[in-house]
Amino acid sequence: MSDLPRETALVLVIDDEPQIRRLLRVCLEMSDYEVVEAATGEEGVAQAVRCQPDIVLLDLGLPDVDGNAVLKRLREWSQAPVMVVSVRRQEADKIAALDNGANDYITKPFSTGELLARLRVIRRYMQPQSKPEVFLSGALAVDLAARTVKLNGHPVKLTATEYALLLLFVRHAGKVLTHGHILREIWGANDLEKTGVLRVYIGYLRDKLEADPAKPRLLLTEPGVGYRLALID
Amino acid sequence: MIDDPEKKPFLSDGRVTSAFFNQEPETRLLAAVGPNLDAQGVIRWTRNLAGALHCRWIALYVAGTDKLDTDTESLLARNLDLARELGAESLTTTDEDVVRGLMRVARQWNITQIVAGKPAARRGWSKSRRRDRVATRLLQNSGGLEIHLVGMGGAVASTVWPKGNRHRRARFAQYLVVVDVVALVTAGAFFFTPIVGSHATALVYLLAVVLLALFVDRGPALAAAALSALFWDYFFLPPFFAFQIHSFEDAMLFGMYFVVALALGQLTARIKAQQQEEREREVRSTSLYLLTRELNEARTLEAIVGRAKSQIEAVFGAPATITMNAGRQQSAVAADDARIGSVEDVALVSWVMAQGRQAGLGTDNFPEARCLYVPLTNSAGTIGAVGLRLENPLSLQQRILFDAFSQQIALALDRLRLSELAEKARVLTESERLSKTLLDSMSHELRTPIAAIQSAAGNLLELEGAGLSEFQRQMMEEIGEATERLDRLVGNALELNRLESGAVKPLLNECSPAELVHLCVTETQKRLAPRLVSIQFEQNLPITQMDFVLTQQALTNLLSNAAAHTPPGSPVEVSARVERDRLLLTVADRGPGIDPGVLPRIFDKFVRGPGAFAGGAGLGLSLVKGFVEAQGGTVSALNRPGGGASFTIRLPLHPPAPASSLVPAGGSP
Repeated sequence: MSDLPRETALVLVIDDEPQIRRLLRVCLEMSDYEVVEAATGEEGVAQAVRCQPDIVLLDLGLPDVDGNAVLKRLREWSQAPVMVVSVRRQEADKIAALDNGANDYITKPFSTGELLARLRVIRRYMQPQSKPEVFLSGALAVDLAARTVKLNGHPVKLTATEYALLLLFVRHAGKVLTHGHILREIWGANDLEKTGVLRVYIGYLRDKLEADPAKPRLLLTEPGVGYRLALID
Repeated sequence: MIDDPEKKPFLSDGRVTSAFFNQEPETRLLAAVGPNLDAQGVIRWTRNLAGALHCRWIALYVAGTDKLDTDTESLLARNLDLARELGAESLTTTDEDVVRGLMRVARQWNITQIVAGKPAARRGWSKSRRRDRVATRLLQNSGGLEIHLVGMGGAVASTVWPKGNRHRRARFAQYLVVVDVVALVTAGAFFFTPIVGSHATALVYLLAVVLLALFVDRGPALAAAALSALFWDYFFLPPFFAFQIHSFEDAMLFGMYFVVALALGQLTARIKAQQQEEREREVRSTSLYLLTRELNEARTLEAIVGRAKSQIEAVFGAPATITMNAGRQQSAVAADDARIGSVEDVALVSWVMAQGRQAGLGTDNFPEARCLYVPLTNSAGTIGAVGLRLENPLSLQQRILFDAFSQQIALALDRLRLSELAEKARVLTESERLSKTLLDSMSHELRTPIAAIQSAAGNLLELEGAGLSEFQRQMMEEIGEATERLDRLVGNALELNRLESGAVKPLLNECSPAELVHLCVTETQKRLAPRLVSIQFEQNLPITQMDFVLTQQALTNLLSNAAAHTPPGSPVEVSARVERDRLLLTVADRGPGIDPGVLPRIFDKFVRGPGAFAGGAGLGLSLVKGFVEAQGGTVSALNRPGGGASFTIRLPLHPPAPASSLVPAGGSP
């Protein structure tokens, strides 16, 4: 994020299907995005260097290089948010893309409404200048400076680990965090054997933060992939 | 035991039976082994000490230049075998001086403690004396090493130290030759001594002694030296025909002659013995090298066995057999060999393979057999045996070589086995990769146009919704709905393909059944919407080991199925409970139920009830079955009393072997 956010965000669409690119262009331009297209991975990286996009929409099944390789090369120098748009819906594919630095993952076919909603989430949390001292989502309020958590205005007591976990979600609000990512950040663990521990702590957080812990609205499960803190206006 | 080994390594008398428990990790023991029964005591004692210290140990035999007779040698071979069976590295080295040989190997192997036999009590004078000397010198030359001298009581009676008995008959012949040659030289000397003088005759005698020493053993060579000296004195030194010597000069000459002759005989014999040793060693290393090279070139089991067999036969000059463990089908390799097949052979081979120890002529096990079998042991255990048909037992050196051969063969077979395993793994990975590529590309080709249709319809609805007429909006929604259905169908077909090709690997994790059920209900809420969904949980549902995603897909499919087959407004009950060691997830409805004719086949592919709604390919329930069975569970369906259908997923709470329970969907009726 080198300069001030532009009036309209620039989206780079990397997809080998011309029809999908056309449709995405129509949809994005009508929602006040600027669009640049690339049909191959190589071209995508070149375009990313040239026009410094604010958001990248990346297909995984590219004709020349795999989408994950493009992702890795982008991540070598760019922090621009990347949303993967792919027909692959295996959890392993999602985890790989997210761990390689993708910010979100949406499967084709996708509904236009959902795509635009996810883009709004990405734009919201990717603007550091606008990151507030107090994070708000639904009934939840996290004061990052004072390290206090409130629910409907009532303070909530969290243990150190619970707060660290919540803070991680707040810092990546709206984004899916893989099991491996969370375990590494909070427990420093590299093995996925500890997923059970993570599940237990998510349970504690839900008990304290959700109106109905069985039907979470804030801390959402992404089956087989990880968890996500929902952004509720 | 001594409390402080640093200060006081030995008791004052210098002949100590003691154990120093050195705790340093690099402790290594050496057991000095000779061809005697005592050595077995030494070996066992060292093994016990090594076990107590958790350290490695070796058993060493220092061969002198003398040859051992057959019995002694087989005893020695048995001793070395015993050490090997007890976990030692069995070595032999050649050195004139036993103590020097021991110390040399001890340095090479970083030995910290040496164990040797304790000198016997007065009995068998010469042997005991010799041993006494070895023990004393070992203590004197021990340097920083600890020496244990172990006494073995009664076994001493049969002690034989490496000196060994000579091959009597061969020796006797050599003595005859010596006497003949010296007599012949003496006879000749009568003719030329008057011409050249007695001193030159001494040189001729010396020449004869040196030449003799080149061909005979040390004893006869020394005899030649002594005999020639006496003959010279008797016949050619004045006074003739008497053992007297008058002049001081002659006495000096005689003395010097005697010493020179003895030294020459001794030196020549030693050089000869070393040459012999060198030659044997060269033959051994060359044949081992040849075998290794042959085995390295062999790429198949038949080639390895064939080449090894011909090498062994060439080197040992005896018919060889290689038998593979019957567990592998390759036992046929040896079966076609006409030379094997006697009852004795078959019994020995099976004994060797079962015990993993050698048997036959020259060993402790079935020594009366006319063959020798050595097990082929590698990382896979005892995989076969090498046999040799023999008339006489192998010499110690041959036994060592044969052992080395069998180890090389076992290693070659191990290498073959490992490379086969690696190849199998590679093929498997490759086929998995191919099937993933195919599925990816299918999924790409089918879903891209669907994505285009849905995106186009979505764009129109979402972005231009306000400008559309009611009719246009309806048509767009139709397009949207049909596209969603098409996508589900493609998704189901691909999933089924994945299940059937075995690409689905269940990933068992601790999951909360309650969370799972709520997630599935939320996900299918839109389709279930006009129905009354109720969720029932048993109190304290346990955390279950399951593949969250597979179970979620299965339950979601059951819920979609209920949505598709029941009238709006009817109740759908979802429940989770535990029955014995199973978690039960049930979806029950009050719809029309399942046609009894279809019920037994309801989870098969493409099976649809007669009253089923239009659309749907009959894949949903067979997918449910696949998802559940892939993680070791079952699924069942029944018609409820009072109307409606009920589907139950049963998952093991503690799955025994998750990987092996993978079952392709739709395979069974």
